[in-house]
Amino acid sequence: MNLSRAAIGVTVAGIAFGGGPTLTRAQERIDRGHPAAHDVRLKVWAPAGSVRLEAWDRDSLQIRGTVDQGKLFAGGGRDAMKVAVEDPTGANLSPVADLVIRVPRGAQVSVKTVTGAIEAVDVTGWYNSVSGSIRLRGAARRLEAESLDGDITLQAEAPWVRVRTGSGTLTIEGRYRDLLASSVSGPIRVVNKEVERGRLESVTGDIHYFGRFRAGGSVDFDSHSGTITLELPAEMAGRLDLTSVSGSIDNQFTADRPSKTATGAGQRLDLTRGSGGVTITVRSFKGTIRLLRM
Amino acid sequence: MTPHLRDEELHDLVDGVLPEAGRQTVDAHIASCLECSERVERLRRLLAMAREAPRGVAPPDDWWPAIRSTINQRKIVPLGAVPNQPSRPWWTRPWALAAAAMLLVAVSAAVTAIVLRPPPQVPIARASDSGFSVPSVSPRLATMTANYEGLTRQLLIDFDSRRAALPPAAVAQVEQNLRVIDIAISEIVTVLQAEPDNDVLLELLDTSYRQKVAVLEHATESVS
Repeated sequence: MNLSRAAIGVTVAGIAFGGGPTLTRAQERIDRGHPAAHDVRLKVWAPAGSVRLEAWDRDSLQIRGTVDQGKLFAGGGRDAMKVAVEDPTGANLSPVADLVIRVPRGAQVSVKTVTGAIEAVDVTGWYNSVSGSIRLRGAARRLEAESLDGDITLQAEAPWVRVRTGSGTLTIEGRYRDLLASSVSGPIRVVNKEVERGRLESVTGDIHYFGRFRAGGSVDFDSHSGTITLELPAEMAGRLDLTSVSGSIDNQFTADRPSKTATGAGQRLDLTRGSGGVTITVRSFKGTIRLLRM
Repeated sequence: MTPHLRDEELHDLVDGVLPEAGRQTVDAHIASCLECSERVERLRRLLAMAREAPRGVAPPDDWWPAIRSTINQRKIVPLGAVPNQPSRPWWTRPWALAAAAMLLVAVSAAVTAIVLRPPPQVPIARASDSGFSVPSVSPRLATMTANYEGLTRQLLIDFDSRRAALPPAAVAQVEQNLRVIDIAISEIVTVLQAEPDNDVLLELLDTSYRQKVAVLEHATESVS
């Protein structure tokens, strides 16, 4: 091979395997600020990497971080903004961004990722990932988080919370007035200060609740075949209505024994302790229901 | 905040038959409770879909002999055993409701299977797998089944049109989740044949259907 043909070959290979879009392959450092209303609505789209949102007491938005193989777009006005990490070449480069976004404390955000991890502190909003993990902390007005198979961790205080995962693990700590936690096959673990109204449901995933309930509240637990375990304070007052259609009930909370259901295939247990208190309903199709004392 | 609205109140509200006396309280609660307002919205969507649904669905050919055979068997009644009863329209009879519910579950599983093209080694349990017999089914089950099956069919079509935008691993996970839920629905419906008024089973069925709707909505929203 002569030198000129070899040089042409190297040049062609260089163009084919990365010589073209060098601009977007370079890492871009981000440090931007935008004026924003105290209750700005913000949409964030960052397919891969990580997004961390923090509330601060300023009427502005700050975006810091890095973007690889892509470009950060930020647009909109003071009341509504959009931040998106995109591939401007259309060459399917799968841009990766690691962003820290500070938002006014009254902001409402909507964050979507594919594999990217999401973390938020003191920020009200809707968080959605295909397979990335979601971790929400601090105080917020409402929190909604969904991940197809990523883990979701809540360590927050919020009046209204909705969390769903398919096969990821749901870990919930905190105080919630109205809580919905749902999974298909992933386990749900709740270590709780207090829930007033709630519904925790799975298809095959186990549910483990360790904590308290607010007096006068109502909490439902449903599972098709997962084990539902409630670890309750000894002094708890309220009514517990437990039914497993074709599974069993293991009561280590009181001395009461479960009875057979009408068909004889499953078990049920109806307990009333003290006056008032919480109403807890536990339904299972064929899983075990276990009551333990904290 | 006042307690959540009961099912009857929600249904009366969307049907427009809520008594005027309680209307103000219900409206006030809806205005302040996102969960109940979402349930009302969902019910309204379901009713809208039900209105648009085809008026008649022909059962699969291989089901009809079993249904006819059982109907014929029930025509043989010991004399004096049953008092005269007022005639009811055929579509309100238990066997018709049962057939409709079972058919919808089977059709839904079939649509899920067709749309999602599951791997052959993972079977989808179907109501018909247990051997069809004409059960008694409550109107509540028939209504629930019809409503949710209509909604999930539409969501499956939406998901199918956008699945290419999801990573293959995510599509596989959605399919797996739907198979798990379909098996649960099928098992519950099978037991409901014997216990049509079992409230616990109906609640568990409602939960499974809501989860199926949530899985499909989330999968679709992820790529929209």
